[in-house]
Amino acid sequence: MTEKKMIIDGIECPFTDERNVLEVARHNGIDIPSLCYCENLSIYGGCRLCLVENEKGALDAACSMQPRNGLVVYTHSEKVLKSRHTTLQLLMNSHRAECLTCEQSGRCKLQEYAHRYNVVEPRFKDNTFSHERLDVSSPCITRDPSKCILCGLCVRMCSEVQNIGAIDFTKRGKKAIVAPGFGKMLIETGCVGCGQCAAVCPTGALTINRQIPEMWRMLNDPNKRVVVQYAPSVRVGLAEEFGMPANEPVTGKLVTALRRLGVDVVYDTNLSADLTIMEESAEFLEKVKTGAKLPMFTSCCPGWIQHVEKAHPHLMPQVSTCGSPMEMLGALIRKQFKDEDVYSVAIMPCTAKKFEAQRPELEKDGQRLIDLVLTTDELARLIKAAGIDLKNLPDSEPDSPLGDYTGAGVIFGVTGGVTEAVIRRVLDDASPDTLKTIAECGVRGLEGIKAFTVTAGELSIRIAVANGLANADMLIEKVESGEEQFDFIEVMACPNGCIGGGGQPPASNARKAERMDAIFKADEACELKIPQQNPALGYVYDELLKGRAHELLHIHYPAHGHH
Amino acid sequence: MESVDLGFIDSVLEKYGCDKAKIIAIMQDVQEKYRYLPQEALEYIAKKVGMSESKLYGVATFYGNFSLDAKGKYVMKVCRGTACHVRKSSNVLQALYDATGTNEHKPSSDDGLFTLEIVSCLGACGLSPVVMVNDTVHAAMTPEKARALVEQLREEA
Repeated sequence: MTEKKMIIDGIECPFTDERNVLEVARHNGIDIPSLCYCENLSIYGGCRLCLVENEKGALDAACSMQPRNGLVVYTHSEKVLKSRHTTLQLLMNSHRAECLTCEQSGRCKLQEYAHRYNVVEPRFKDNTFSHERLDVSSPCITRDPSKCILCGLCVRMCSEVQNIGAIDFTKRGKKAIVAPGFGKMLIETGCVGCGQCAAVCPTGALTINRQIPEMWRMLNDPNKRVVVQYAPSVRVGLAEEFGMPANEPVTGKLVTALRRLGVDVVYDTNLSADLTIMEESAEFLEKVKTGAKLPMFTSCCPGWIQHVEKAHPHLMPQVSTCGSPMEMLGALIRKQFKDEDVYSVAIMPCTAKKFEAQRPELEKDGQRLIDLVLTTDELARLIKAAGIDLKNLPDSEPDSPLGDYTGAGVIFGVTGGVTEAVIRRVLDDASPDTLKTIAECGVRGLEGIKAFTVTAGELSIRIAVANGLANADMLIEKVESGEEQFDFIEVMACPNGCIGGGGQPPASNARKAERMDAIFKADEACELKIPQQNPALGYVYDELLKGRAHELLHIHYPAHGHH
Repeated sequence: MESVDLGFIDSVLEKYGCDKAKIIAIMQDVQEKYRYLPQEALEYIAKKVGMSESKLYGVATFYGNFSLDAKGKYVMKVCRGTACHVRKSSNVLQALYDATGTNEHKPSSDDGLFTLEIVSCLGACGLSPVVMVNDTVHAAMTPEKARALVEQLREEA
C-alpha cells in the first residue's frame, strides 16, 4: 500500500489513521492553534481557531476535516491569519483578562495565542464576559465564569470521560454559560473533584484550589514539625515542570528538594501503598472465604469513592474498607510523632484528595490524619518559588522507618498498579519468572478497561481494571446486568490512573505513556518487589498499630453498611 | 406555588417511553400543565431519562418558550413589533405594568395572576396594537382598554 500524504503549507505530510487534519499537522511538526480540541474527547469545532484555507480559498476547521490523500491546505495564509486574529479578538473580548494575577497565567492557551499571534490591540470596546458569581463551593476546584470562553472541553470531559455531567452549556447567546443546572454550585452536583475539567480548561475558568501560602507558613514556623509524604505519581509528574524528561522518575531529587524547602521529615507514600496491599488482599481473601458479595472494589481513589456515594450508593458495601495510602500513612505519622506538634502534609497527583483529607469520617482518635494536601503542580511552584534548581539537585533517600518501600507500592501510580500489587501479594512469590508472568497477565497498559483471570493455587480470580469513571460505569452496568462476572475490580477516576491525575501538570497521552514507563522504571529500581518483603512492616504493625490495625487503617463511610 | 405531582410526570414520561430524544416534547407537556417548568419536575425527569441535570437545564434554558419561573394565570404577550410600536404599544405596555403591579424586571404580579411578556411580532399587524392573553387576541388596544382588560380578568379569576 502506498503511503498517504497531504500537503500542508507546501510540505508533504504523511499520515495514517489520524482522525483529522489538525492531528496530521501536529504529527508533522506544524502546530495549528486550537482551544476546543482534545485528542481524548469528541470534536466540537467551536473555537474556530484551527481554520485552514483549502485550494479553493475556503476556510474550514482543521479539527473537523478528514485527511485525504493529496489534500492541500494552508495554515498561515493571509486569509487564515486575518480570521485567526479576529477570532482571538472576539474571544479575548468575552474573557476577563487579569493575566498578572490569574491562577492560570503562564499556562493559559488564550494568553499564549494572543502573544503568539500578536493580538496587541483590543478591537471591541465593551467586554462581554459573564458576571455570574465565582463558584468556590468545592474544596478542590474553583469555577470562574468570567474567564470562560465556551470551548466546552470541560463539558465533554465531565460527561464523556467521567460520565458525570456536573456542568454543561446553559442559557443562550450572550448569556450562555457553562454551569451546573439550576444555578447550583459544584458541590451540589455529582462532581467528585477529580480536576480533569481544570486539566483541559485552556483559560483560568476552572482552576485547582491552591494552598501554597499555608504551606509556607508552616515551613517557616519553628514550632511545627512538618512531615511530608509524597505519592507514587509525584516522582513522575514533577520533572516535566523543570524541563526534564517525563520517562524517568526523580524520587531522589524530589526528596532533596523537600528537605531544602525546610521539610523536617520526608516519608514515601509507597510504604503505605504496601500496607494497603497487605490489608486489601487480606480483606479480599476473607471475602472469598466467607462467600461475601463480590466483586470487591478498590478504595484508594477518593474520586471513585465519591462517585460510588453519589451515583451507586448501593455498591458501597462492596468497596474495600481500606483507607487510601495517604490516610494510612497519615495514621502512622500521628502514632510515630504522637506527642509532637506535627503538621502532616501529603503531596498528591490528585485534587480529590483535598476533599478526602477534610472528611470527618476519616478522622482517627478524634483527629484529622492529614493537615494539608498539595498537588504535584503546587509542589513544583513551591520549588520554583524557593529558587531550587531541581534538575541539578543531588539525590537523597526518604527518612526511616516510614520511607521504606517495595516496587509493589510504586506501581500504584498507574492504572492496574494496585491490582498488580495485589496479585504479587496473593501469589507470594518474588521470583523473576512469576513477576514476569504477572506483568504479562493483562494488568498493564493504559486501556480504559482491562479484564483478565489470574490463578492462585486453587483459586481462579476474575479481575477488571477501569480508569475514567465512564469506563467504571460501563463495567458496573455489565456486572449488574449479569453480562460479566468479576471478583475484584480496580477503579481510578482519572484517565490512566494517578499519573494522569488532576493535580499533575496537564499532559498529552504521549506524555502520560512516558510517565507510565517512569513508574515501571521506579519499580525495576526496587530490589524488593512484593509488599510482604517491606522491612518496615514489622515495625508498623508491632510498634505503631499495636493491634489497632483494623481500627486505624480502615474506614467506615456512612453508606458502607459495615460495622 | 403548587407542588409537583410526580404521578403526572410519570404519565408524561410513560407516554414518551422515557426517551431522552423526546425530552422537548416531555418538557412541553409538563409546561402545559404547570405553565412553567418546576425545578423539582426537571430534576425528577433528568434522573428518569438518564440525563445529567446540567444538560437538561441547558436544553430548558436554550429555548425561549420554556420558562423556569412560575407564571401567572394570565400570560399577557404585549407586541412591541414595528406596526404596534408606531401605534403606541409602549403606552399600552406601561398601562399594563401599572395595572398589574409589574415592571420590566419583575414580569409576574404578586397575586400570581399576571405575567407580562414582550414579544417582537405576533403576526397580526392589521390589528395593532395587539395584546395576547393566553390564547385570546385583543386587538386595537389603548391604555384604557388595557386597564379594563386587567379589571375584567381579575373579576373572572
